[in-house]
Amino acid sequence: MLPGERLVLTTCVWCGTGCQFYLRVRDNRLVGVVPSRSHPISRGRLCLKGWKSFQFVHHPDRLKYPMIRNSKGQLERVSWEEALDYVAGRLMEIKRKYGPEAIAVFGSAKCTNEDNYVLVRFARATIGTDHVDHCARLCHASTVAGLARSFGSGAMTNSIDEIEDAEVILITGSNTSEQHPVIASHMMRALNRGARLIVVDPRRIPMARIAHIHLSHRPGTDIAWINGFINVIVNEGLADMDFVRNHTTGFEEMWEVAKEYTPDVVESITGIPKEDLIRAARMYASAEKAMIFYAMGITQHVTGTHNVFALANLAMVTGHIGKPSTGVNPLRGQNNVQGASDLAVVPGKLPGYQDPTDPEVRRKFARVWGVEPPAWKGFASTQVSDAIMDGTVKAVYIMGENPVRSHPDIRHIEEAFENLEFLVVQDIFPTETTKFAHVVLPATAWGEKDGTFTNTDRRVQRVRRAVAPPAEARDDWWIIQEVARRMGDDYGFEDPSQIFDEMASLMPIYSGISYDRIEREGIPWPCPSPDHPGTPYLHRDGKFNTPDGRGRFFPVRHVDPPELPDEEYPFYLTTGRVGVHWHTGSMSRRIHYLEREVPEPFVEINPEDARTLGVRTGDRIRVCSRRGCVEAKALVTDTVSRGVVFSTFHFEEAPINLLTINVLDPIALIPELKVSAVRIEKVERNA
Amino acid sequence: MLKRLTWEQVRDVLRNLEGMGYTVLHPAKNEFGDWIPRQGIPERWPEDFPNYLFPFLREIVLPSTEPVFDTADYRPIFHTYGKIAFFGARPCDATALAYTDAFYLERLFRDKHYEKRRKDLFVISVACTRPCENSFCRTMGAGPFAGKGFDIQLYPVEGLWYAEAGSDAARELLRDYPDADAGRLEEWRKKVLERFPLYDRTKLRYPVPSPVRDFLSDRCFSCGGCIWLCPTCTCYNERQPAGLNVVVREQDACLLSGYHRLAKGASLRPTMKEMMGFRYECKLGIGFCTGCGRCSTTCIGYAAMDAYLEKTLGGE
Repeated sequence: MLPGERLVLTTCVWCGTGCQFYLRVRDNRLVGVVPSRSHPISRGRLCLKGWKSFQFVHHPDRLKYPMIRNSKGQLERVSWEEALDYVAGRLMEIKRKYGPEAIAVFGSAKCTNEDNYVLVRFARATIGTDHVDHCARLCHASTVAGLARSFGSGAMTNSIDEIEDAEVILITGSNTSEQHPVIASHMMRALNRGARLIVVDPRRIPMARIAHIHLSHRPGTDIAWINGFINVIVNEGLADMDFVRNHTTGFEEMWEVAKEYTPDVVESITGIPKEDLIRAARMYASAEKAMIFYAMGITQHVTGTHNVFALANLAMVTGHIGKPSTGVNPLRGQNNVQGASDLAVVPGKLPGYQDPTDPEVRRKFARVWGVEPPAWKGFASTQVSDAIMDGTVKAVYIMGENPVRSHPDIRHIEEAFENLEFLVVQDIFPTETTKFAHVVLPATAWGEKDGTFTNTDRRVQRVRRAVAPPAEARDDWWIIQEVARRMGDDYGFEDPSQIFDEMASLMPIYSGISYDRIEREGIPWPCPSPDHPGTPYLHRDGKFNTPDGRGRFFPVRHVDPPELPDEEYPFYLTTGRVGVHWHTGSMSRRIHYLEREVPEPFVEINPEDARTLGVRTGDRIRVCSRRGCVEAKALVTDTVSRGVVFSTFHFEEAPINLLTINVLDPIALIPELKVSAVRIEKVERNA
Repeated sequence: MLKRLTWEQVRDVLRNLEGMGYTVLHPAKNEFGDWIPRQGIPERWPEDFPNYLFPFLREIVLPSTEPVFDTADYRPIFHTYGKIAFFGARPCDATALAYTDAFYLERLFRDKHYEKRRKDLFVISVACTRPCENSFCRTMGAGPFAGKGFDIQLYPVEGLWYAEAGSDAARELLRDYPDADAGRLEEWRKKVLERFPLYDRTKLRYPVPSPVRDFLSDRCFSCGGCIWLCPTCTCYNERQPAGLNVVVREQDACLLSGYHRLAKGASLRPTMKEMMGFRYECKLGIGFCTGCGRCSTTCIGYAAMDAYLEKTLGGE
């Protein structure tokens, strides 16, 4: 390398694609990025976030010292000893007084598998609570719930490498080129090799502009169009009935419902012209290899789990599953949301999707943890604010999450957090959530820690420490271990590889993986033994991970979203992200080039609606729902259809989740972030 | 001056450079299978070396981020890697160096930061024998042999190394080695040249025909990769990062909307089509492209120079 510099290969910190690149290090500072041509996913490509990822790490806003809120209500710097003693003491006191179920713990899909494993052990063994959750609740909870029931495994069925051999690619509810650009790159390669692209999305996203067919449906009508596809496919004899007979159950019940969704019915519900629906259904069904990709546009609905069932039905009815370049492929949002889910940073599970009520599993964990994990099922993070308000939960321990920005109906969660007896937040930057914390603990950032991330295609990859952390910031796993030790539970971990070995020993899907094996290249789980090569695609030859080995059809019906536009609130509000920002912006807004690209909040509005309201691009508009109002600049664009506006949740200047509705999918407990009703007003200058 | 050296003598030249205080960098594959410059004298020449994906040669003279001014002491900062002998530069990158030299040393102003580092750089390019991924260097006149930008250019001819001197320092270093037969080299060059594709350059010009520009614009996802990896891109931005008493100069990218934005959010080129047109004017209208192919390798949307060539030239 250039004199005075060294390179450290690591996995990207942003989305779930799992690109790898080298960090350039000079004088203990990250000074740039060098792409890796040899990495099987990124192949020398990166998005702008990846290229500039290193810039947030040294930002002066980083949390550097432990802090405790003093009697004046201000956060005051203290020593680690004092902070750790205080946290352990308060948690023990609350546990003694109210029981372990009064404490909830939030993990983080930005942190490593090792951090999350230690957090899970801390919650379930040291504290004894199952109120453990993380942001997967807000993204793919419905995927995990849905695909686990349909196929027996709640993850991407196929791998990124297989995309370029697909003949048809169906993208729905995923703005792939902005949110998973390098996966979009694999799709572009497939298109160059003759593949056809169908995009089903209410917005005319960039991938829709190059699609062979773009179906723009009304937000919240996914089940209708998917059932419509099935209707066309079965009626036209395009279904793979051999596959259905030999490898699935429940087809008849599903068909009883799907047969009602004729193209005419679907057109009336979704607004998709029936000719287009038929053409797209034929295209998907008649391909030899067709892959479905989806993301938040499918999952963040009250019908999120049912939407996922519907997609699984569609893949099974055509036999597009269990073979290379097919399948149902949820694109996981966070760099390590797959890993955090694998590690059971969700209630009601143990690491490796194991059942906490199974006596053998309980014994296995008790042997390592010293106590049996709780057998009851805890709250989802979206239920915690209600649980705080009704007095069930008294303390929350948060590792690297910012629920006060990311959860729906912000006012409600703010009110709840104000009522907490004890809130600990360990993070890398001050956030809206640290404003409510009694203790703030500074953690190491990506680039400063060793460990592993598991990407969206289940590949476990190394993350490496390149620079020392600022001041007194410490690794998340170390902080939690120190709190646990003070609570009388010593894990004895000295480095992340020891943690990995312990978790792999408890999780059959990871048990063949070790740091030595993934030093050069990651391995996709399941990997049950040290000589197993890993599993690029699941359900080979139609053998599903369900108890009877068959895929399961679920009949699902369209139901209207909980809040539809009406006279008072005449617009659909749908929310999402832009390519250059990440979630609540605590990292991306501290990176110059990302912030420069999109420096302020905006609301997309269709040109015809804009004309009616007298609004032009750049005008300030006020967007109000039944829960609140925010102001932002209008962006007049044909990306959105008439009657729909779109905005993002990145900006504290216009926190869009003030407007969204806190109604949950009854199965996955994911909130309806994609559909709420709003009205738009132009803000007059000098008013 | 054209000389004839054995591999051992090439290594002697590198040792001499080390003796003169240069750090010698040469191409090596690391443990992950990526080509990264390594310090020291190489045991052998890696026949399978295509080129670095990252333009390390440009990076030495034009770092993608460098501190340029200390605002506390109010004095300039000169970031440097010291004296470097860059062995194994590919001809396209040597040619690119000649372009950046022209930009930073010979136009409106002489950039002192660039000049200091350039003086400390000794470039030994090695002629290519096979085209590498996505390249069209012959079309752009930058390969498989460089015409400028090197101190020494080596040709692997019949088990020996023919050495062409491109600077006085090189002539001095090579003085005592036997002369090579220029006719033989010419024959060798002719043979090698035939392996490299040649397109009709007159068709590769600005303005980009609008159907081509629209096709590329729809597929550009603004990652900036083509620019971060371009050996000839010279645009930069200066800013003072929060919390630091230092002004840094950073490479900037003309496919980012922020590059073109003015005060109050107005933009000189508000659409991707206009940004794309601007980029191609620079790369092909002015001629700042060496055909190295990096932009095509790194392009997420398959919308870089290879797509441009295909769309413009069709089946040619």
